Amino acid sequence: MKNIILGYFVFICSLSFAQQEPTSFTKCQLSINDILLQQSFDIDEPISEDAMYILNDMYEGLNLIYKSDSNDPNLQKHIISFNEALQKAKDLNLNISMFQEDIDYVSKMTQ
Amino acid sequence: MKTIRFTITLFFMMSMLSYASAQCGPTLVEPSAHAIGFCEGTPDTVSFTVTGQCSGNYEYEILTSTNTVVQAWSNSNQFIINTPITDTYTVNARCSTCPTVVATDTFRIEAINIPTIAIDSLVCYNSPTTISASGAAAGSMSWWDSPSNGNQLSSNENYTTPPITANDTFHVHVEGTIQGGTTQGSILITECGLHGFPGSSSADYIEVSNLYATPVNTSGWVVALSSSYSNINGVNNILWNLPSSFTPCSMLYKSDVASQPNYWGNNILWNPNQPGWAAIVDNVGNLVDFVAWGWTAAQLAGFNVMINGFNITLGTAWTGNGCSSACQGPVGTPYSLSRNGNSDNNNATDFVCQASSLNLLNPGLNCGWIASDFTCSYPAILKVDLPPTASAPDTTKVSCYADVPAPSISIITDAADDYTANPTVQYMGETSNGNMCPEILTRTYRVTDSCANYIEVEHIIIINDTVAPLMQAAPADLFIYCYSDLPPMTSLAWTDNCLGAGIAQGIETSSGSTCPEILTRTWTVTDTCGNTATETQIITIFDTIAPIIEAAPANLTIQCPSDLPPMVSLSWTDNCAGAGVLNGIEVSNGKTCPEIITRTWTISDDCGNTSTETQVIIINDDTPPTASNLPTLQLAVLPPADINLITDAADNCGTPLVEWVNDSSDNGFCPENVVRTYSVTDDCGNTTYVTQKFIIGDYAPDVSFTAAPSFLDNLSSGIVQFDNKTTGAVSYSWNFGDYSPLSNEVNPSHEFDISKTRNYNVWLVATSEYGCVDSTKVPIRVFQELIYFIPNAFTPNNDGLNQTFQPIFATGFDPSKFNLKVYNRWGEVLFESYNHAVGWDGTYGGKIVPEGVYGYIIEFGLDHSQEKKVITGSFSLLR
Repeated sequence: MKNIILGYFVFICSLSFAQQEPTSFTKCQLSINDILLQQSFDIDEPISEDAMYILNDMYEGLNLIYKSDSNDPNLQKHIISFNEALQKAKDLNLNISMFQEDIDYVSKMTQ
Repeated sequence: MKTIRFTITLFFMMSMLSYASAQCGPTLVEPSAHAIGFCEGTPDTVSFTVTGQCSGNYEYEILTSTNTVVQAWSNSNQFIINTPITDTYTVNARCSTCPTVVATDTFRIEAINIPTIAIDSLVCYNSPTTISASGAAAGSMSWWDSPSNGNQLSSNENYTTPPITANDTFHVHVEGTIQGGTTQGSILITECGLHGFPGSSSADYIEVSNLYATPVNTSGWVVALSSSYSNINGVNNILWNLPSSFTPCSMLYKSDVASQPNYWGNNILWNPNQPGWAAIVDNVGNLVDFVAWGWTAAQLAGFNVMINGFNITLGTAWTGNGCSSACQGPVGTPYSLSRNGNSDNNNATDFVCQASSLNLLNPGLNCGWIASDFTCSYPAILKVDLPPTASAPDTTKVSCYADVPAPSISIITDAADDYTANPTVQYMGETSNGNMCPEILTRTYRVTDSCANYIEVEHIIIINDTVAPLMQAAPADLFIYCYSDLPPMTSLAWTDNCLGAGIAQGIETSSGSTCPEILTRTWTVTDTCGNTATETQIITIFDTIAPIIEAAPANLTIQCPSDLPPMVSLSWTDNCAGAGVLNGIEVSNGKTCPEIITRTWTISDDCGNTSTETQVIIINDDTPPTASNLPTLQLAVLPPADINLITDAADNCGTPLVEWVNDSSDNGFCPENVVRTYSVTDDCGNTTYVTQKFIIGDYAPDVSFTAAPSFLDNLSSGIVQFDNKTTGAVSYSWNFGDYSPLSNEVNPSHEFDISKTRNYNVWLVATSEYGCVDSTKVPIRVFQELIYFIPNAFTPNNDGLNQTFQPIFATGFDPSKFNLKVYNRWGEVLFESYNHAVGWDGTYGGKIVPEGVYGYIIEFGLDHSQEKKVITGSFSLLR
């Protein structure tokens, strides 16, 4: 259990660092802090923590998608992960309009 | 219902009380110093400063460590220290309108009592003595020459002085130590703002305070924050690096408001009712302070994070729950978990969870104080029996040895001493400085007190003759012209105050110069001290009178150098040198015409007095030479100039120079007149001009002749005889104008062609003896006589004969002016013609006129004149 928590912590930390420097491939250039500040809830509310993880997942998925070659066998898996995070964001009714260009880009890839 | 009303009233009163408590009262009281070293005998004061809200007066109370009141509640914010009692005191402050709210602080007074000093009451001058101190701990006392910052004289309580020569004060220093005061003694997390603070209603912040009384090197120290409400091990990825030097008694903070100073760097995920924590980790991984809320002791036991490279757990040093997630906790219980055995208990005093007083040091916190040393200084005054005093007598001045007074102690009039009533006076002796003028005698007197201290005073006697001798006056100064006028030198008498009287011989010195030569005659007498009397006579020998010379001859002006007279000698006389004869010097100015010769006779005496006589002779020839003009000549050609023709040139001073000057012509012809000029010049440039006139050639002849006849007609012979009337000619040339050969006869005859009317110009050219030529002409006219025929009848009958009436002209007729008019008997013009070749055909108006007599008028010009000829007549027309 301790290892699981430590691993999760490292994973979260890595995502945190990643979100501080979004790749240049993503069209959305905002930090997660800035995105959270644009939500309907206060940034310090507990939902903000969940939203932060979801936004981390979205950035992670987008970075992997943009970096992957079109023939990359893992590309489809990255798209599925992104769409799952996207669905979670929608479930939390997050304002993700800043990702719209990226969402459109991923949608075209699946058509 | 009654219960409800009571409950509401109670709630309202509690709310008001709570409100009043929150608004009124001190939040902080600070003494002016936390550690005071108090020296007995030197009162000291501690003053207090209060922070808070008070509509009334602040009141203060001072307690000892045993809670004994040493200064009861009063408005005085000062504690005056008079009693040397060492203790840790507590100051309480309150507001008179809400006295239940009390702020407290402590301060330490460390006291040193006055030591006992053993010292002699009086010390003889220049003698040592020993002083001692007691009453304080051995080793804490030492002797110094000043209260502070002086020189240490002894490192213990005893001090033996060197020989003392004056009253002096020494200082015993007693050292003490102020115990260190209690202190929060930590770098503490003093506030966590979970939701808002003044100026930003929804932001989070954290305050960290240095509660040490000294700066703390916190280089490498970080502050870490939680980042999750569900995972206690979630750490905000921003760490706060504390400064290398954390200012004592100060607070630092960070907030997550990007627009304000001290931005954390990202959002601090803290929220009321949600758990969180904050930690300070030093540069070696020690957990310096840790606060938590909303987490239980069991959850805190699982705290295990990586901060700044260090794995951080709470371990056994930290126990208990965090305060509630709403930052609430029962009074008296920790608001957060606390560190075992540490004053940092994270209670409401040193940590406020969900605070809202950003950038304000928490009330109730103080920085304590640290142990320190201090020193008290106490004086020891040493009195000395000083030597007696006496003034030196005034210096006595005399001129001669005979005036020096005898020694006497009565001359010391003011001998005195601080502890001896009548000090003794003795004459010790006399010394001389061995000099003269002045010679200084020093007489010594000794004054002694009961401690055998003495001083010596000196009586100075100066023997110095400053009065000069007196001498008889010298003769008056003289001015003479010659040495022969110099008088002999005399002797002068003198007297002196110490030496008596005598006779002085004078000496004579010359200036060594002449004209003037200054002779100084000096009489001098000097006494033993070099005072001198001097008399002087100045005799000036200066010849200022020039010699006298006989007058020079009068100035002259002459024409020629040969006229210059010989130079004569002049006699002279002088007041010092006698008389003589003087030759002159002749000097020319080196020029001529005029040449100025100056003859000068000069003589100077021994003093350079000079007399001069001068004669000026001007030699200037201003008389021009003479010569006669030459006779006029008439020649065919101008001859060359010849100066030898001027045979009578002469000058008053010598032979003049003859030169040809020019020939001036009038550019005439027949004849040309030329004037030739010669110059005759003497040595001074005086010039006379000689001229000679030349007539070159002769006059032109006067040409004239006559012709007979000059009119020729066709009826003449055509021969003309010419009569030559020319004068002044020697040869002739005739041109008859008909291209015939020229004739050189004097009176020729010539036959002209008379067959035609024409004019001939006959020219005669005559030449004189020297070739002068002139000419003239005479016209010869040849004309034809008038010959014509006018018929008296004509027959216009078409028979071919005499068909028209017209005149017939043979010679002498000029047809250019021809006009023919034919009239009938009634005067009517029937015909008119301007052409002598066209005649009347006997018709008029196209009809044949009848036979009859008709008249005519014929006009025509003549060949040899301008006249018109008019002929009238009648003729008959026949059929």
